[in-house]
Amino acid sequence: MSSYFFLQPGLNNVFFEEVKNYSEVHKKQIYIINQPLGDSKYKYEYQKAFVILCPKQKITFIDLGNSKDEFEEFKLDFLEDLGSISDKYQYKDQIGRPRKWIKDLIYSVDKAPKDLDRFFKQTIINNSEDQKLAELLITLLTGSINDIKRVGVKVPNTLLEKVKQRILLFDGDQTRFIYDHEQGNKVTIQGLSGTGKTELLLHKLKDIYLNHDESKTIFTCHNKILAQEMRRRIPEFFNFMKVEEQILWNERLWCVHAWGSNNNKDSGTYRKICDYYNLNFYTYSPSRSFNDVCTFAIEEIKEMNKVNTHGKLFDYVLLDESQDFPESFFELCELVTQEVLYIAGDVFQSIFDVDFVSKVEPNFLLSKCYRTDPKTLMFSHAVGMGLFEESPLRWLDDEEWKLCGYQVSHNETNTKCILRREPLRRFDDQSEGIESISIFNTDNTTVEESVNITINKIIDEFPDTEVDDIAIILIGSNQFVFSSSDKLEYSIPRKFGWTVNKAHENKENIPGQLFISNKNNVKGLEFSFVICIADRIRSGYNYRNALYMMLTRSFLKSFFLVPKSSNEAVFEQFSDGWNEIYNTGKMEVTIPSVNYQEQIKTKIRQIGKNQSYNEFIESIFEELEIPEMWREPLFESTKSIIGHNFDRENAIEIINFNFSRMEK
Amino acid sequence: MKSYTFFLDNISVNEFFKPIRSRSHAIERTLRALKLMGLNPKIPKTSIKGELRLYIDKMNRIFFYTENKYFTLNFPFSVQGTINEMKFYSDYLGVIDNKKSSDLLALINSGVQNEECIDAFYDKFCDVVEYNVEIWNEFRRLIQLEDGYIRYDHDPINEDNDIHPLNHLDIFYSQSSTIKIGLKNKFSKDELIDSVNIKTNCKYLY
Repeated sequence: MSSYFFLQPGLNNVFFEEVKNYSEVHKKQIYIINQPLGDSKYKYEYQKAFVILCPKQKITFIDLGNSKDEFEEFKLDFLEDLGSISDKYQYKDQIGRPRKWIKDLIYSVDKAPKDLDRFFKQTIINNSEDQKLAELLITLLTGSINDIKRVGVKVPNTLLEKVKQRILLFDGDQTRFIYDHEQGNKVTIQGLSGTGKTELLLHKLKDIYLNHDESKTIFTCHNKILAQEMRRRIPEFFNFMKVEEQILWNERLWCVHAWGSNNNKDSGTYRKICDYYNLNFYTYSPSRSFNDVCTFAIEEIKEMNKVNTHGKLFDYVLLDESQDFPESFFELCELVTQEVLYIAGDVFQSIFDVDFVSKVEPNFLLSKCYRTDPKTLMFSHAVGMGLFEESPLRWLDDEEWKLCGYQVSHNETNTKCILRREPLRRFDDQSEGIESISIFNTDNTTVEESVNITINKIIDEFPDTEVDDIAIILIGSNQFVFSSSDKLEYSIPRKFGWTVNKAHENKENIPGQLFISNKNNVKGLEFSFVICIADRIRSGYNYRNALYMMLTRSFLKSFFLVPKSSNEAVFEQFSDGWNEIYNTGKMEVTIPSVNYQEQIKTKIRQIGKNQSYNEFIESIFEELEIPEMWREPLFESTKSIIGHNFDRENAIEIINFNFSRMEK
Repeated sequence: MKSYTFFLDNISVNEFFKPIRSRSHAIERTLRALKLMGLNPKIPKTSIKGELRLYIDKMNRIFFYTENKYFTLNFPFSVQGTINEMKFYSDYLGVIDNKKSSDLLALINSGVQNEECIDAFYDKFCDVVEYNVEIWNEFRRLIQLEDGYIRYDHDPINEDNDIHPLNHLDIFYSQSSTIKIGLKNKFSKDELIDSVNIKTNCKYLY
């Protein structure tokens, strides 16, 4: 299925196929519906009338049944309902009553148009205010409700206003995920960051909660802070979506992280499962991974036949950030779920897993990232995987590239892989002229000076910039990250009059303050501009993954502040790589030899055996600033001495001792 | 006796002179002072609005001054180096670098110390910082510490005879335990230091 086209489930006609092809060829977002989505109460007797929705086009009613009276009735009823939906979501105050927009925005034809080119010319809306109004009506009809107070009806003047007033409109894939209910009992949804996964899960949750009265549903993710944030967002979202039913927390709905603690049976998914089935609950300990405890639980449930005796615990499970979980957690959830287990995750974050393709196989692949400029995304991927460097850290085959939303081709001699992403009209093309990555050599400036210059550049180019539009994210050794953020905390209020929020000290994003963070507190956040500051670029997987995460947080522009002197080769490679992407819209990457590809896989496989242990050792290397070339031998020697032991002090002592001997 | 003096601009004065009403506030202010001293920013003379002084001797105290208000807190770290390159130490953590001070600030800001249940306390602690026994011991030491809060006020706006004398000292910050001691005259910065320095002659109330 295409992300450009959405056909309401159950509809069928040759004409719809033609429209589908047209949408793909012309890359036009088109929806065909016969009732407003999002609320099942809107139903009509006449089954042969349809509505075509397409941004910048009039909303068009089509009669395929040749019954004038019934068609007229359908139109009247449909528009009346659209008016009441507009009232329900408080659009009416802004967009006015239907009689104000019917004349200019609604069109109808009594049979299927034969010439679609001509049809779309006839129904085009030229006036930008009307275009916005029509798009808002489409959001109402497709259930992609926006906060009308934020979006407004006025046409934004500046690009930054466009970013702030952007209208969220689900594409074909996204709409299908929410409204197509025939998807089996395990549905995976994969997408890069910025493709709207969490938003979709919220819509799905609302759909389940409203349409399945007695259902029990749990929303879960790995990170406790994220779970708390979602627990705060769900009631807000339900209020916003005018869900009238009360949320029955811990009766019908849970929103918790995956593990949980002993003192509260509703504190985690695994904890809840243990309580319900009367299983042994294990708390976190450095020698017990989450995989271990899930495996114990599965064994216990199966051995004691607990599902038969206790029944299924949940009707629906919505699982976010699936890349953070072992397979055993999915299995455990599936075991205790009656209806559907929804699994959402970011493909790229699991790209350092060797079995990338077989692990992913999503039902829905969201390849369009609506947050970040496609060129920024390409650059960030290339930086993450080391594609600009002589020895890439990761190589994907063609199928895997496609999974990440790339169009793949090869040069004639098959020595180069040519990667492109489809351009996206995110902010009506106005953002196209902007160079969405800027690499800044910080050799001759202090961190305060380079940030000062960058913020001034932003303000020069976008005079309506406000403090919430910018984030500063630092990556590198602890000393570099924490001393730089202390310096910035002092200098920025004095230069710009802005208060600084160091998220690694406050653990939240505070409105009206400049966000500064290390790599740990940026998940799920997005800003118009991101200033990424690094010292020496490392090759560790965690480090590169964090770089990718940081660079893709921006709507408009990511600034990459990095010293050339400590990154001589890489700095040039990144700059050249970006220039190629910016100027040609593609990147040509030399395909590594089969042998080298195999080496990469072997390395990932070796390290991937016990990811958490590796991350543990890797974090110590980062902390002690161990040079890259010594990490592998040190890793091996440490492992052979202490085994898979997570005693930090011990590991540091051994690494320090071995390292001192190696240097000699 | 080692002493170090730093000047404060308007922004720093506003940050440091926010009311102290709890132990957390006192610790937070101490850690922020530690960070500021580590930075030792240069301030143009015209921007100077206050002062911060650190005394390390038998008495370890930090003093914050504006024209009419001073306050002082116990400074629970040892210090080495010159004013341009100060290093702070504690028994548990060794050198307190920028990360360790940020971790301690993150713990204080998170309110973890107010958790009622021991499990929830431990969970939250591990969410905020990567648990290790040193950071826990340092945090425990800080929240158990006697913070030695004393404030001097020259307060013409709220002056009310002997109930709220023009010049007075407030000892302890909480409503129920605070002590107000009236002063006959304006106190100088050095007089406040002198009055809490156990190595100099005592002051007498009567």
